[in-house]
Order: sequence, then C-alpha cells, then structure tokens
Amino acid sequence: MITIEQIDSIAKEFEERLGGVTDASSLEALRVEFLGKKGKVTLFLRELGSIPPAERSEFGKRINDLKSRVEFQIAEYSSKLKPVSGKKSDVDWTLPGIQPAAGRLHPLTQMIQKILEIFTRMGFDVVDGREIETEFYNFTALNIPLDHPSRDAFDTFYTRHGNLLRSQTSTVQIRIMEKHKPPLKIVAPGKVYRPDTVDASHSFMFHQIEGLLVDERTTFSDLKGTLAFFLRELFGANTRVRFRPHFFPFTEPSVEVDMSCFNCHGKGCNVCSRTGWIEVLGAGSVHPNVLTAVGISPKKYQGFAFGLGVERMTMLKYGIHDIRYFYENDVRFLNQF
Amino acid sequence: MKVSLNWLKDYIDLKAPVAEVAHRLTMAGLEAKVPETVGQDSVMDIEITSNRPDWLSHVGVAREASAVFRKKLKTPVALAGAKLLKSEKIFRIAIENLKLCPYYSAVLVEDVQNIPTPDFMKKRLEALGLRPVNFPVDVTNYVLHEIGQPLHAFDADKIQGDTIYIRPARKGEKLTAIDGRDYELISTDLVIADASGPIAIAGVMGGKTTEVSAKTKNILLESAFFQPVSVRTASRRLNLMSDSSYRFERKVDPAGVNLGRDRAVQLMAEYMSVGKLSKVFKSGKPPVSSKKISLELDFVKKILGIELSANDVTEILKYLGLGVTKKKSALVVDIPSFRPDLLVPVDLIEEIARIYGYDRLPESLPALEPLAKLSESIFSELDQVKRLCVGAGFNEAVNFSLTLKQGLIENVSRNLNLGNPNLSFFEVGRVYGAEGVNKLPDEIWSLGLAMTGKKLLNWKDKGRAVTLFDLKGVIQSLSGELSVSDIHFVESRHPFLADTANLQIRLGLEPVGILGELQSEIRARYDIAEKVFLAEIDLELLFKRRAIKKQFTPFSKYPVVLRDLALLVPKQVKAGALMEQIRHTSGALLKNVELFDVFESDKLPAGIKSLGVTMHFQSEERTLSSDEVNVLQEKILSDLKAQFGAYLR
Repeated sequence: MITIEQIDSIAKEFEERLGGVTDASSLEALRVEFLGKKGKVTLFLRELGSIPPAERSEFGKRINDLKSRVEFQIAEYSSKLKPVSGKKSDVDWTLPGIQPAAGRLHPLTQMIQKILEIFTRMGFDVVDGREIETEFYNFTALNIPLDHPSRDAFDTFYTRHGNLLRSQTSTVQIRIMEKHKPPLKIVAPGKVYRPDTVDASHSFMFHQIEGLLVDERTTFSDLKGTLAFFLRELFGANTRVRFRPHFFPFTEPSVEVDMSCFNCHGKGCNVCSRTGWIEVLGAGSVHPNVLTAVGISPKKYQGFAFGLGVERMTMLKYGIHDIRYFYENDVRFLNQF
Repeated sequence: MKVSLNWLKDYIDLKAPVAEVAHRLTMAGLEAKVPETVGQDSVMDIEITSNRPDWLSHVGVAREASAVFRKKLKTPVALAGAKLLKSEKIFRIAIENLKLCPYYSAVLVEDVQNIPTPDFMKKRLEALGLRPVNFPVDVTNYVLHEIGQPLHAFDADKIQGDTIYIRPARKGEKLTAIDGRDYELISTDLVIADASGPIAIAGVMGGKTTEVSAKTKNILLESAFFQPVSVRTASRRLNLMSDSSYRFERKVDPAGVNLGRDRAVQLMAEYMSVGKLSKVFKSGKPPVSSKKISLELDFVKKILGIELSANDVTEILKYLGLGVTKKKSALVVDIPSFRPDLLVPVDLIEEIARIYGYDRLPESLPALEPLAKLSESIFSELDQVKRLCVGAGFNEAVNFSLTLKQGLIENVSRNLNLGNPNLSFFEVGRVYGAEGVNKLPDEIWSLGLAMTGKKLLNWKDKGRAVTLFDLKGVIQSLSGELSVSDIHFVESRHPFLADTANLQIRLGLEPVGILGELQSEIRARYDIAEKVFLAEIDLELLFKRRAIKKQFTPFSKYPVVLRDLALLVPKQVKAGALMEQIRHTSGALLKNVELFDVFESDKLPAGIKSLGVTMHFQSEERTLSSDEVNVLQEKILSDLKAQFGAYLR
C-alpha cells in the first residue's frame, strides 16, 4: 500500500531529476517515467482504489496535486528548452498602448482622503457638517463674541436672511456635541468661506478638516502627541513638530503647530520664510465655555480640538505655489496627481 | 506691532541677542518675524493676538520678556508736573453716556514753547515706522507705544467754549479729521465735541480744526477710557483705523489712563518750556475692578498632563504681574486690570504652559478606547461615487459656485480655450435648497457631470463624438454600483437644457436629477462651440433608495441558448418598449435581452429602421431544447408584429 512518505519522496525525486534535464528528449523520457501509462504518478492513481475509504480522499488530493505540479513543471521546462527562433517581429512595439480612459481625483480630495485615513486609524470617526450656518454655530457657541476684535479673523459672508456661510469647520464641534454625549472622537472635512481678496495664497472658499476629542481625561500633552503623530505620518518620520502659543476663542490653552521645513530641514529657506518652520495647524484644549454652550459639563469633560487647511497642506506636499490652481480645474493640473 | 529692542531695555535687563529674544517671545505666543536692524537698534515685528491688549506697548512686551527670561521688570513712573504753576482756567467735562465712556480726563498745558522733538524720541518713533509730527503730538505717540494708553492733544485755543462733551454724534454732523478726510457721522459714533460740534471721533481720530501745530501755545491733553464696542463700531463703520482705535477696541488698561496722561505731562515738562498746568478735569471713574481666580494645583495636571510644583506655578504667575496667595491645595490669583483676558482657571493654565514652554510638554497619546460609529457617514458613499466617475474617465473638479452645473460649464469652457477638446468632468458638492427666515436651507450632496468632444480617440480607434448616451450609461453604471433599481429617464423641459435632448432622471416616480445637452444660448454665452452634455443628480436620494441588503442569487447550471433577431420596425418604435415586450412575452426563461445594433439607412424601406437584439434563454431546471426555444421565438415575433409591426429583416 502507498504511504504519504512515498508520495513526498516521488515529488522530491522529480524535482531533482528535472534539474538534470538538458534537452527535449531527456525531458520527454522524464515525462514518460512519471506520467506515462506506467509512470510513477500514474501508478499511484491506480492504487488509489486499495486505500481504505476513510483515507482515500486525502491520498487522492495529494496525488492529484503532485500530478498537476509535475505536468506544469514539464510544460514550463519544455518552453525553456525551445531554441530562440531568431525571427523578428514586424510589429512596431513603440506604438503607444491603448490606455483605458480614467480620470483623476482632484488633489484636494486625495489629500483629504490621506488625512482622514491617518485619523481614522487613530480611531476618529468621520462626520459631516453644514455649510450654511447661523451666527450661533459659527460664533456664539464657539465663544466668539459678536462684537469683538477676535471676530476679525473670521470675516464672514452673510446670506439674505441673516444666515452665513461658515468661516471655519469648528461649527461641526457644536453640531455634533449638541446631538451626542461624550466620549467623542471625530474629524470633519468640508468647505469654508471667507471674504478674502483672492491671491496666490488666499481664496474665498477653501477646505478645512476639523478634529475634536472630548472625554474625561484627554490632556494638552495628548493633543501634542496626536498632532505630532499625524504630521509625521503625512510628511515623513523625520518631521519635527513645534507647539507655539496662540489665541483662538474656542480653545484654551491654544496653540499654533509648526513643523520643520521639509525643504531645508530647519536651516531656513524661501519655503519657510527663513525660519526653518512652517505653520500648519491651529489647535488647543476645548474651552469650557464651548462645552457649556452645548450643555456638556466642563467640570467632568475635557478634550482637544484642531483645524487644518487642506489647500495649504496640499500646496506644501506637492510644491504648488498658487492656490488658484485648485479651482481652475485645468486638466493639465488635474492630470498631475 | 513693531517693538524696539533698545526701548525694551529701558524696562528689563536683556542681554540675549535679538534673534534669541525674538525666538523666545515667539515661543511664548508673541510671534516675531525675523528682526530687522534700524540704525543702532533692532526692531521686531510681532503679531499680537486679539486677546492681549496689554502686549500693545513696550512695557507690556517687556513684562512678558521678564517672565520668559525670569528678570525683573522696571516700569516707568510719572510725577505730573509738581513744580509747575497752577493754571486757573477751567474746562468742564460732560459725559452723556457713561456706558460708552466710563471715564474721561484732560489737563491743560499752558503757554508752551514748542521745540524740535528730542533725538532719542525721534529715533524710537522712526524705528517703529512712525513719522514724527511735532513735539506734543510725538509725546502722545511715544506714551501710547510706551505704556499702551492712547492720548489726544487738542489746540486748546481752537476749542469753542469751555465744556468738553462726550456724546453720540447728532444727525447730520460731520468732522474733517486730521487725515484730511471728511467723515459723516451717525448716532452710533461717539464723539468729543465743543460748543461748535464734534472735534474728535472718540478713541479713533481727532479733528483738523483743533489739531496741534508747531505754533500751538496751549494744549488740552485728553486721556480716557472708551468702551471697546463703541470705538470698534465707529472705526469699522468709517473704515478708519488708528493706533488709538486699535488699542481702545481691544480694551486699554483702565488703571493706565491717569498714568498715561501724567507720563505725557512729565515728558512735555521735561523737554520743553511749559508755563502753567491746570488741575485734572475729569468725569466718571476708570472701570478698574478687582478679580480673583482660584486655581487648584491638581487641575494643572489634569489639563496639561504634567505635574508642576506650587512654587514653579507661583513664580511664573508673579513674573506675569499677577498676585498669588497659596490656600491649601489651590492658588488664589489676583488678576490685574491690564489682563481682561484672564477669566477662568484654564486661562491661567495657558499662562503657566506658555511660560513653562509648550516645547517642554511631552508628546503623549489619548487613552480613550475605540468608540462605536456615530452614524453612517456619507463620505464613504461619496467616495464610492467618486471612484466610479474616475473609473469612467472623468476628472474631478472643485469649484466655488453654489450650483454644480455652472462650475462645470466654466471648467469646460476654460479647458476648451486652452486647447483640450475632449473633456469629462464631475464634481461632488452640495446644492442648496431655498432659505427662509429662521430656516436654514437644505444642503443636498449632489453629483454633476459634464462631457464634450470625442472618446476612444487613439491610433487604433478613430474615435467618435460623445453623445448623451455616454452620460446616460455612466448614470446607469452608477445606479448599478449603488444597487439602486428602477432608475429611468423621461423627456423633460429643464430650461438649462436643449429642447431636443432634455431628460429627467427618476427613481420610480421621484425625480432625482436631470440629463441633457446644454442649451445653445448658454453655450454661446460661455463661448463654447461644441456640444456639451450635462447631468446633475441628487446623491442623497439615490443613497436612500439603495437596496437595503445585498443578497446572492444562485445562477442556473444549465446551458444558455442565445438568439439574435434583426428586426425591421417603423422609425417611431421605441427600443425600450420593444425590449419590454420581449421580456413580457418570454417570461422567466429569458435571462437577458441586449440591443446590439440600431441601423438606419436609405437602403431600408422608407420610415423603417432595423434593431438588432440578442436574447439569452436559460432554465433553472433543465437543458432547453432548441424546439422549445423556437416556439418561444415564434411567439415573440408574432407579439412584436402585432404590437409594433415588426418583422424579421
């Protein structure tokens, strides 16, 4: 009766013998020896009937595997042995391939996807928010008094009925916290609008991604670790991250986040206005007034929020020097990404 | 704001080179650009955040530097002209609304002998980019940049009457300001007025008629506290910003009003000949209020994530000019009047963190465990749509405009002009519904598509002009990808689209979008010569109508029988109706029917076209015999003949 060991040993023998084959006739002899009417593999198949039924299927599978492996290797080897014909093709293979028509995702979409992928890996949930908002969501609930110089940073388009086009994605913080109790861990991409004069670095519409984490213990140092991780994932492991105090009405403490210039690595160049650092993010610990505005107790809950400009990140990443390229949708631009 | 390093050194013993001073201030929140050298001085341009009016002066910046470098701060003192003769002249101060102006003071400096501004003062003002005017005016500017209190000097002899009114402007009043421009005033503008009318816009700018010149003999020097909102309102309305309004609208230190006035009098008396000095004319009180914040030391750790000792925290806060008393596990912190931004304990935590150094904080990660998803995010579905469009050969566009159609037409027009004739664009964005009073409009995620030119254009395929059917096919693929059944297209009259190619897309009976050829008048307006095909689809409705659950349907094991029919039918017969009839007649044995050819030619009889269809027959239970299929095919042909007058070609 055949054994598993015998099958394995035939397999091994075949491999060794194949290595020694040098011409077509010896390959054919080898084929007959293993796969011919009285070949070693063929004989195994014949003996299959004598295997007890309980083991028959296991043996059958192994022998058939062996058979198809031997067949394939002989076919492959025989094509290697075929002499090169020396005949030249008369087809012009320099003619271009027929490319399937495929478009490209806009570079801003690609960047948003990249950024969201990093944050979703860290456990942030992607949520959506409105673009047309009320003063409450855009200012009041975010601790921005309606008549205070702190509003100057957020000049705003108003609609006919006194609503407005949101000037920052922080509105989503309020919308989400009104509906859901902490713990919360979200990111929200979207368009924002500011009545800026359009030039190479300003546009009256651009994209932001907002982040918010609220629980009972997340600290300002956790914000630092989170953003440092994010920037290193996006711009490379050598990126250094700098936290610099700043003021935002809806966070306290607040911070502007700089990363080391990817162009000069901190020595100072044109990209970083000779400072070695590039400002990329605004962030901070959620201001207790913001939590109070949505009915969450700041005594129990705390956390952080951040906002980043997608256009700016994309311009930095790809060396795009004029923001207007994004909205012209020139195919010569779009097809580069 | 520009800050002179030499000037800072009046108040703090700074030894560090200017680059280091700029860097350390930046890292404390006073973002300084690369410093410039001006003569013997170095000047830093610092971005001051709107919450820190106290930084809008050299003393304020020096106070910050004293905390950063842990060095003592020496503040300027003023002994207001103690040795001067007293003037008998009296001005009365009349504040109409103490809310808008809680405190106004003025002093008369009489019989002055004007002098050229001393060199040190001139240099300092010039270093900040200010143009020296004359000595009394330069003194007011100097004090503003020194301690942050804006002042105004009037030529007292040009003031009508002996009362200074602080009141809202009356209807029709005007003022020619010292910038030479005329301003028409309204009742929300707070003004300083004499018997004749306004002589200054409070806290914003003085008037031309009472301006101090080199010939001025008697000066009325104003120092006041104006309500920030009032100054901000007037300054914004008149589009008139000054160093003074900039500080008032951010809130000046109420405790600095008297100091500023006295300091200016001292400087005037020190450098020029002054005859007499009046007593201080005043009304109201500087709104100095005392405020205490209790800070639990545990709270510092809870927010920042690091442990700091009571001593460390106390030292930082004291250098910033705050009073600190320890009370058990807390610090009771006295907030001085120049820090209106400090209101709650976290405000103090930011102060501690800033001066301790954000850079010294560790990079830790939140300990929050994974959370359940909040709600099905629309973004994964939008991404699915985008992937399909890209796969279908469309480039994604991003536009400003509030309608997708408009942006896409602009994109087509622009790219055609740039010499790219074959274009396929899509955009995923929101389309806004109607807005109402107290009603935010619906914002509906939608898909816009636009196509023009040729497709399949390469050296092997000659290519052909794109048609509406190309766009229709994309929409059908999309509905297939999203498992939306029952999408169909009915003729419509959308004004944007040409009458001859104008379809509404429907799901059952619900309209879900439009599809058609761009109307020629609109094309002409965008200077487009070629046909452009457009579609706009409500994605949210499409997503709502997705099959709830995908379910695998096993397929038949038996062979398929394929039959082609070339049918001659009258031209007006719709292919859709014909295929529907084939399905109806065949019943369950027909798995699929496809249209493979539409042929119209003058070789065919008049009014007749040829439609080629392939039918797939298959049974779930057995192999179909060809007799069986023949019988079915005869039945189909006879039904088609009866319904449409169709016959085999």
